[in-house]
Amino acid sequence: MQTAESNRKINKKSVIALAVCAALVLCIVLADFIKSRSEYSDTTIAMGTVVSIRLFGSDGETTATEIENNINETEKTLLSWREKNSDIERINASSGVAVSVSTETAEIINKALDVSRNCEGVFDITVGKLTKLWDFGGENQRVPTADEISKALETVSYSSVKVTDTTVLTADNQMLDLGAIGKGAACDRVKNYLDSANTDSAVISVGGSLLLYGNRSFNIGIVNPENDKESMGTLKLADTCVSTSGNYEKFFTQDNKTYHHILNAETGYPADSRLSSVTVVCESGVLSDALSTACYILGYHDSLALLKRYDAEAVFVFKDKTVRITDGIENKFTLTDESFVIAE
Amino acid sequence: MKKLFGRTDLIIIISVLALSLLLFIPSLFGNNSLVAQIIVDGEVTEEIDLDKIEKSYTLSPKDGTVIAVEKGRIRFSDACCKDELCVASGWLSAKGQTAACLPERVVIAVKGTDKTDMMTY
Repeated sequence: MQTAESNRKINKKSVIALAVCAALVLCIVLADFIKSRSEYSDTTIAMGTVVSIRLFGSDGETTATEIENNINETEKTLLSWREKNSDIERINASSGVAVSVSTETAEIINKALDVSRNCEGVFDITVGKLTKLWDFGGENQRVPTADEISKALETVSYSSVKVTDTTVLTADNQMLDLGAIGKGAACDRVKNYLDSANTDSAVISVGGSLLLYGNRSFNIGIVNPENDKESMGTLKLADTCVSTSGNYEKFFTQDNKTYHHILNAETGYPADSRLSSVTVVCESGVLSDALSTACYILGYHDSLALLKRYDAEAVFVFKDKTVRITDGIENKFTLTDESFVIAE
Repeated sequence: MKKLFGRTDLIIIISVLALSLLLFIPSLFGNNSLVAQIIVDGEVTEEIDLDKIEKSYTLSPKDGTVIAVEKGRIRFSDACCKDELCVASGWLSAKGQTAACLPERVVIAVKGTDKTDMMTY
């Protein structure tokens, strides 16, 4: 009698023990499943560049597809001067005549003009004729003659562009090229889209211009200018945009001289800079793109006031491998390549 | 005083916990194998475990684009475009590295992240 009761107790205990174990295993498996389901990664080509997407939240696949659509839309309907009927193509085709554009395009142009005003025109979106002449990365890249450059420079003048609400008027024969800020503009558009999606956090790279969305902190590698597959340092950041301009991205060599693609809109030639790259951290993608280009051309000291005006921060990498970081992100930067030295 | 669990119970508990721990360990440390994705027109067409390559070979996911695969590394070895920037990208051998042939819309992406979540360039 006692043995039977004792057996029942043991069986009951065994069942409890098994149930506890089963619950534990279920929790572990479930946690792993939820983790794998809530993160989604994708790499593709959009806007003529590599787009990498990492999403944290639900509906990853659908969200990634919408992100690609948004990036392609930015290029096709708004900013590419090559795309027939895009806002910029229509402005260029009707230079000297006011053209009606989308609110988004007008806002982007206004932001770019504001940066031009504050950097004495070294960054300028009216460089279309000039960039077409140099054709970096194209089939006809070459050093233009001095005459060609001075003729193209006659059309470069940001102050000639007038934006009234959603109407844009450029000077006769002027050509806009928003290539320097297109990727950042795409980041801004994706940010607006993500506000309505089921995404908690995300990091998206549009050809190296980054959108960091949500409160999650990401480790952002700054490319080593001497080896574009390695990072020279990292920044731990959340909820911001990051852009880098460097002399290693597009260049060609002619008569034993190397020419990089960052043109000084004042001189018409590649910026003569002591810098290898500038990485700018700013709340807007258009601004971080524009500022990284402007800062590369201006150099370290002249960039500081410009960055302050836009509440932006930056990492400057010099050709002699010294690194300067602005105060606001100094404690977020970690050097990962010991051959670089942080300047005192 | 009676023990809370008998010998059999303890064996069951320890066995189940050990098994679940074994199942969980890989996800704790992440998947360490080096896997490259070949992406053509936005679609993953092939996944290659670079650690398991025994003999080097080449593949052509699109006409004119040739990819070389070796143990632990992968690269574009030929392209039909003029600048051949993808070929100049060289070997990819670490997590998170990518190379792209933009005219042909072919991307090689080594899966996973190493020290960084994303690179700015």
